[in-house]
Amino acid sequence: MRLLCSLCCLLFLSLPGLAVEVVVHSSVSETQLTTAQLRAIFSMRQTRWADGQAIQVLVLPSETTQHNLFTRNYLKMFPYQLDAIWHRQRFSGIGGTPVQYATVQELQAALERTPGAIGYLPQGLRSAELKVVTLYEK
Amino acid sequence: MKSNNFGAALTLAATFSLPVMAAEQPEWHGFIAQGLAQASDSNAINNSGKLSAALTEIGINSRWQLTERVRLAGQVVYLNGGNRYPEGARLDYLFVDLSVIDTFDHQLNLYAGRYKNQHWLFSSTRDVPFTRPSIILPQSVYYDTFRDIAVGSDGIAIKGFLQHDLGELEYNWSYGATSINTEQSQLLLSPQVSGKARQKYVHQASVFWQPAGSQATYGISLLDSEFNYRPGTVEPFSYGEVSIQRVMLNWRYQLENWELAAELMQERLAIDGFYLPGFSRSQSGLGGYLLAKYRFNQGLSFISSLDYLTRDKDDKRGSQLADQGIPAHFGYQQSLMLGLSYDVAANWRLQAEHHWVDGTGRLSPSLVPDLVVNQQRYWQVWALQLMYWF
Repeated sequence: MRLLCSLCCLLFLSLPGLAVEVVVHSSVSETQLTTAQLRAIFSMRQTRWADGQAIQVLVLPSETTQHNLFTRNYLKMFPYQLDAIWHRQRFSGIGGTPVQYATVQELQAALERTPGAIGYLPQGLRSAELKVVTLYEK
Repeated sequence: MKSNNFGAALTLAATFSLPVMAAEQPEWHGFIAQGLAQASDSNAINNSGKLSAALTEIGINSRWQLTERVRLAGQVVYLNGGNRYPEGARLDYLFVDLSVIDTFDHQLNLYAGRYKNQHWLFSSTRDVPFTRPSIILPQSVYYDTFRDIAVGSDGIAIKGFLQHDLGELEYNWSYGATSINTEQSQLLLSPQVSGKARQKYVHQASVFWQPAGSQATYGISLLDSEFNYRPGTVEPFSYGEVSIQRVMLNWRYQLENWELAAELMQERLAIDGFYLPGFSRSQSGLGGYLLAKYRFNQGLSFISSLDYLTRDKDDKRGSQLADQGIPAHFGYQQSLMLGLSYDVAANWRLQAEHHWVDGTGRLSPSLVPDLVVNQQRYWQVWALQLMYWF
């Protein structure tokens, strides 16, 4: 049963337009990150890239399919957990919150024009101004 | 101002932030919540036991990026919680945040000013209606009478995160104090006090560990604090000193629909003087809660908690309190809570809950119990609150 679920999930994620990939602005030199590092960035704890450039985290609303896929597959979290972290940071003053865009098109445009930006897009939408980030394990 | 420490800590903090001011636009966020509550047969909400609208919480906060590594953050709130805490506006936190380490595997921040308590699972979010799991939190750990003292202190704190192949470690340390006004003194001690209560210091540390690939987080929190009380000219109490030490284990487990949280603590309370010159007593209480939340679809959640506290582990049911003329049910408090929350629209939530309680060990005042109103061993409290945030 578990194998069947995994196969269905794999099939679902590989459908065009449903899988997402993590992308960064072309000014960012990092193209490989671990899950823990991505978590630190999207939890707004880490605020600088290795070269000192400010990290700009850009996301879609928590209810969207793309955000759901991203948090589950890249951060290994549920969307409500990330929301809770952002709320905690916002209302205890210890961290910022990401900039949210209503549509994929708006998010893509913002990623392309914002130096230091990181976000996610459906596979196949990446333009020349963006670089794909791949996950690796240390 | 809560304390003279606050000014000193903020001045120290401000020196870090002098180079560049207002480098970026400040962020503004806030919340407003209004509700109804009733606790018949106890003074948990009011002394009459009648329906009350004393469930108002309004807050606004902001955060400024002053320089590349320095931020300033603050929050002001207005509260009306009936007997749960003094009514009025207060500065919840205002601190300078210095980013000391900001690398891929380690982040460390130093906070100076009025910092927020980050050591318990809900200590940093208990003052914001939609970020805490229930309207009234488990009183064994989140005793409302101590709300203003426990939310934050004037001093310095650090918070760090270490990302490792084996998991993620969060560590916190803080040292400070909170000043206590007359109204808070009366809530904590007795309505008859007219003197000055002071927290000399509160020293806390905590670590939280989440193994890689796990949805569980394990933590331990330590607290050491001392208070003193200087009596007014005419009153029945004497000079006194109180010390509290708390050791607490924390656990949280988060699945797609289920969320479980538990905290277990042992708390030593030592009192010298206060009741009479030369009086001395030391006792260790035990307490903890298990809280469960189930998320249905469309923003509906079910919440339940079991909460237990005994003020003296050597007299768990308070039977020895009779020697002092105090009913046994003041020695403990245990409760069951059932509740529902529903997100009626984006950033709007309606929450309702009912608590069935046995014992009055966590009602106010803490040191001199209210034997007139809290005569019932069994009592109930319910609350309904509508909240909005931005």
